[in-house]
Amino acid sequence: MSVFTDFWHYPFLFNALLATLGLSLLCGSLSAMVVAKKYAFMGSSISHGALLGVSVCMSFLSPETEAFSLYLFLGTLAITLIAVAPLAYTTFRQKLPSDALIGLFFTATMGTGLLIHQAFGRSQGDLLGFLFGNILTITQIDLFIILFLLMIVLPVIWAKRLHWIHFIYNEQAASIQGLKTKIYHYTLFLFITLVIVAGLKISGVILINSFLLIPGIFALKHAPKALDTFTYSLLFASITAMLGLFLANALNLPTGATVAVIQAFAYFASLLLVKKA
Amino acid sequence: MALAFEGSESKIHHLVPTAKVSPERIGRDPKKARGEEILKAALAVEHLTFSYTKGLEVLKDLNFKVHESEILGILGPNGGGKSTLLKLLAGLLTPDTGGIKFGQEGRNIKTPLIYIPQKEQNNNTYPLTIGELLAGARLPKEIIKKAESLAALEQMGLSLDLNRRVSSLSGGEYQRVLLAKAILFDAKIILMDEPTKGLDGVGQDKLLELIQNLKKTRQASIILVDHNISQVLKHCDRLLCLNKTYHWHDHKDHINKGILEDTYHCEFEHLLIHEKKGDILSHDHHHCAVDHDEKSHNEVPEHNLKEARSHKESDS
Repeated sequence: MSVFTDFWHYPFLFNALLATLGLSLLCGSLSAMVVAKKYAFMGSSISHGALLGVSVCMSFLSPETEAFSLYLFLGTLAITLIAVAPLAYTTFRQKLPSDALIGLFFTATMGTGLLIHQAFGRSQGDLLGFLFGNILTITQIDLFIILFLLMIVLPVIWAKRLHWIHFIYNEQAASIQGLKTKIYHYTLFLFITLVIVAGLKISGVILINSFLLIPGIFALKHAPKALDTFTYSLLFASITAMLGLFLANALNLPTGATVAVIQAFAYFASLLLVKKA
Repeated sequence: MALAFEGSESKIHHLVPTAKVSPERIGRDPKKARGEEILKAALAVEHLTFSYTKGLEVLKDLNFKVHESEILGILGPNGGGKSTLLKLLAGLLTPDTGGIKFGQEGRNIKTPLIYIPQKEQNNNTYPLTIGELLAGARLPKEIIKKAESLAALEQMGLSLDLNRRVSSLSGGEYQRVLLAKAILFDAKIILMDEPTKGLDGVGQDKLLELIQNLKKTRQASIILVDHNISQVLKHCDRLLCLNKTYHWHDHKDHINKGILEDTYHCEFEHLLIHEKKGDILSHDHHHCAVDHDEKSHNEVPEHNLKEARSHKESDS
């Protein structure tokens, strides 16, 4: 059977296709802002911090529960938001905390997560699935979560894209002219956390950063205008994610890793093409 | 006769020769010269005190007013609190005591204000275009159309492609684009921190003429910090000489050498005081407890002061 038709014949692959497309659109809408705001390391830190929430939920929730995926999402989200709140607070209208502080945050949260899982976890394999992602574990509930997030994140970003651009470009000037920069700041952190937690099953805490960063790097490099960065990032994220997914299925490779490599390859190829042109 | 301009309420903390300029001499009606009956206050700073570190005041009991359609020039040495004052006016810092009131008769109404700092915190990784910058001038209320943006640029003497990136603009062009943004925003108060920095003589004159036009045509109140004393005297209506806890505020015709010397004195006389005491290497004049009154000045031999002044003049 063709590597393309597999996705229509096997429900778990169809779920994976929709979830990957949804995640790529979510990450694509935020990516340029995350990179431009110099939150790349911050995003990485939040995704690693999410492992604490995952291990707590996996230790105390039974996978046999009917709505396990929903409880896992909500529990991980709540714990990650609590952990991220001090980072969001210290970065508002101030210089970023030092790299060392962000590093301290994610190693401490990740370490705590591993210790909790060691003490109370059911099996080590479960947690490893969240390090690199496993699309076979995606359920209907996960799809609904991603769809719900798409319905919130995309309109908020798209409808106010010029506001977001001015907030990212010069937060101080935006604040003086009356933009509620505090709301934009905390909303950005909330969206990053939501997207990371929702994408853990697909690409894992490590590889989610390729979804979150590479489309933005591509858009900032090639888009002629700031407003175009959203379109460039969304297109790049969705096309490379679909390409990675099909390739992973065809060559029997892990999806998260394949998408990450395809995105990096596509970015470097675009640099060469632009240089030649 | 010393003039007591309402609105200036200057507090001179050191011995400064009082200006003896009559209203008649400066060609103004005495009532008009008193200001408030004729001019409407756009902004009033009242007993403002601010410190970054508790106990070390950067600004102390500062009082002054800026009127509609007026340019206030702020002069003073580096570290004298000029930029801090602009940040306080822009609402980026909060005063320890005292306050800033916008609008007439002390009513604290929301006034459209634009702040152009020394170093813009622009995130140039974003490929923001001039069109996008100007389109967002009235956010969050509305998005400005291209035709309006082009008209504002034209008023600033610019005919730029709206698709050009902001990061590719020269210093002078960028300042004028920001003034176009101020027009679109209908800013009633414009705060500019060293706007002529990095511009050549022609560029400086052009920019300051545009600022003059903004004042006249849009009744904007402009507060600008600049180190170029002659440009400030030429283009500003009133002056605020500021050196931390020392300040003097009045019409520019009342400025004299003594006031300027008192404002800038720490740049050289202060160092000489410490040189005499032998602690010049460890000296930090911003956090210095030495009294800079007349008595302290007299501790320094006059020939040393003259020498220091001539060094300063030749340096500048």
